[in-house]
Amino acid sequence: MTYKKINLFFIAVIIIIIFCTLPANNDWLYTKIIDPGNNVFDQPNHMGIDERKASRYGYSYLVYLNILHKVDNPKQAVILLPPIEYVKSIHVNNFAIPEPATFYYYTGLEAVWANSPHVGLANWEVVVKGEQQIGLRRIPGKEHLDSVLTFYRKYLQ
Amino acid sequence: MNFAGLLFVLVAQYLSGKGVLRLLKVELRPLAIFCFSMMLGVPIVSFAPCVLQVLHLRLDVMHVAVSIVVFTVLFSIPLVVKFKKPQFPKIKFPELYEWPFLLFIAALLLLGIWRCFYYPPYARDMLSGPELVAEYAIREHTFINSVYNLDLHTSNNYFKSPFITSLQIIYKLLVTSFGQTWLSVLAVSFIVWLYTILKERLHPLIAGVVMLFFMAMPEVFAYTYVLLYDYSNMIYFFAGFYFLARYQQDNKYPDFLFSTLLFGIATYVRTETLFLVAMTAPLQMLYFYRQKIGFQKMAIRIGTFVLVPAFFYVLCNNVFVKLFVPIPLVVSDLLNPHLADVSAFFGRLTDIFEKIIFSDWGIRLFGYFAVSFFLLLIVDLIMSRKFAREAAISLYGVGVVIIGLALVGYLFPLVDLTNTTKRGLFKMMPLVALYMANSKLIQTISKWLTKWEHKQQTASRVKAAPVIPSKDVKVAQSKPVKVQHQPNKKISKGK
Repeated sequence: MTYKKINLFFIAVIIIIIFCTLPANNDWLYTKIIDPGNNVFDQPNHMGIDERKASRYGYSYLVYLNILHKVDNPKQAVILLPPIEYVKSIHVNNFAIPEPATFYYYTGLEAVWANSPHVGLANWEVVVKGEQQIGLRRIPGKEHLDSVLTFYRKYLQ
Repeated sequence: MNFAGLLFVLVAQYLSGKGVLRLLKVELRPLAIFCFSMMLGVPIVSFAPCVLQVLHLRLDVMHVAVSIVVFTVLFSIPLVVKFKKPQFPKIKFPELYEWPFLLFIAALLLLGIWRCFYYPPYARDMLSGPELVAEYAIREHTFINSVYNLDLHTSNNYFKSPFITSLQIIYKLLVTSFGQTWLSVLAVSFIVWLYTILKERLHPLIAGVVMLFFMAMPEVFAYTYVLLYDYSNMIYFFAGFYFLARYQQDNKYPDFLFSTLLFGIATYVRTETLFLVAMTAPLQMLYFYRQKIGFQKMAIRIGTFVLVPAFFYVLCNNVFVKLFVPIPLVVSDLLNPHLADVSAFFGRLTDIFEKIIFSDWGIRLFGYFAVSFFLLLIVDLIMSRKFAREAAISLYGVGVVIIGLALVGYLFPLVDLTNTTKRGLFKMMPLVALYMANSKLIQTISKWLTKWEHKQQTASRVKAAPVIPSKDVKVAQSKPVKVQHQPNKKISKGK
């Protein structure tokens, strides 16, 4: 009886080993479960809220936080975000353009896209020129805003 | 992490859930009762912030905690009225050969719990919808907050059920800054319950294998810690089917009522589930027809079966969304304008099989679980075309999910294949597990294994018989002696 149970125990272990060596399972276990980039044993050393958010949302989130710190009057600020297609066209791959609602979640700042109904209210703009060339600039006036919108319009789908 | 807050919410969920089980007189094993109490308590407690909003009360720690207490007291009334002395069944430890599976599954669950706690909500649908609304509801103490002043033309996620928004409010206020740990409560309770279901039907080794493949569906596992509606929806939809199958086997009315309630909760979590529930109604009709229960009774029961989920649909879309979202929801705007062109339906149906289930992508999403199911089904069809009732109901459920999702995709073009439909397929996975537990082939292997193990046990007993210590032999011999002496005792009493 005990020997049979021990035999079954080893069968169970062998099944799990075979299971782990199946290609799809193996790939999943290595990339998503063990996931060297997200070491579970290292994570307790990084328990700050912003640290955890940054590790989840990535580089883009850090840029959004920088934007937040640069805006002098957050309650009045309306940020114009560049179109996703424009950012893709200049081969910026590590910075994601969020939806206005998601940007509000990250920063508490109101944002608009070039095709948003209230785009005329934009008084700041996120300027993306390259991978590490992302900045924030105050919109000096309506003329400047119109020229920026004219430029962005060709990237709107 | 506020452990006192977590304990408070968990106790509230447990008592509320158990109260509903007692009210509906649902009979389950102790472990299943515990799991179900937790699983039911989550949606019950989620109504607390909604009620506060309807009453125009502030959404803050005090109000939310008090409303949870009130809910718990109300739902605990059946526990007091129908008080039963708690029973502590003998704990049966798993067999030695179950431990490798249990440890593997436990490791995955622990990882899921940790990630659920450690990471903030991530899915785009959450960050532009329920999570965003919950975050600002906490800051501004109301569901109707500054989020609705934003440009929301890129999203319609704020129209979704308040289920997640409410739970996020509760858990963010009382437990942890990212909320979402309620998802772990649901996931762990569900996995434990599913394992008990499999173990009731299969040899523990086979149950372990099925469970292992279920857990190893990358996409489904990911949603045990990525906050979204689909995992919760899968749990309640499957539970509804499970109790429907139980009702059709045992004909116990509480199981029918409970199944209806569970389908209602599934609809509350994702309102389009109502379509799938409606598609399940013919199965019930057929059962009532075969039972010959009479037209009137049948009409009442079918009405209950559809109206309870419909009530949750109306509660969600016509009460909560209407009251909490200051933007009108026009469902007709979301409808496919070319309904006459049914090729979209068949196209979506084909895509589900070709692009999701039987594709490399499908393997990356669901591991080998979905493909194994179809292979198993073919083998079962070749072996014997007779299915156990539970297996037949599971197959019906799988059909409802696949055809229903194609139908929903055809009716609402916003329901895309690569996101909504893909995640909607989660609902079929526990049904597949239930089918596997009843599959002819797996049952044969399981019975053979059980017999083999039992045979060993019997053989060892037979072998051991001649060497039983004399003390035990005396005990064994004393029994018939006692029986023989009993009549004499009676006679002597009479004297």
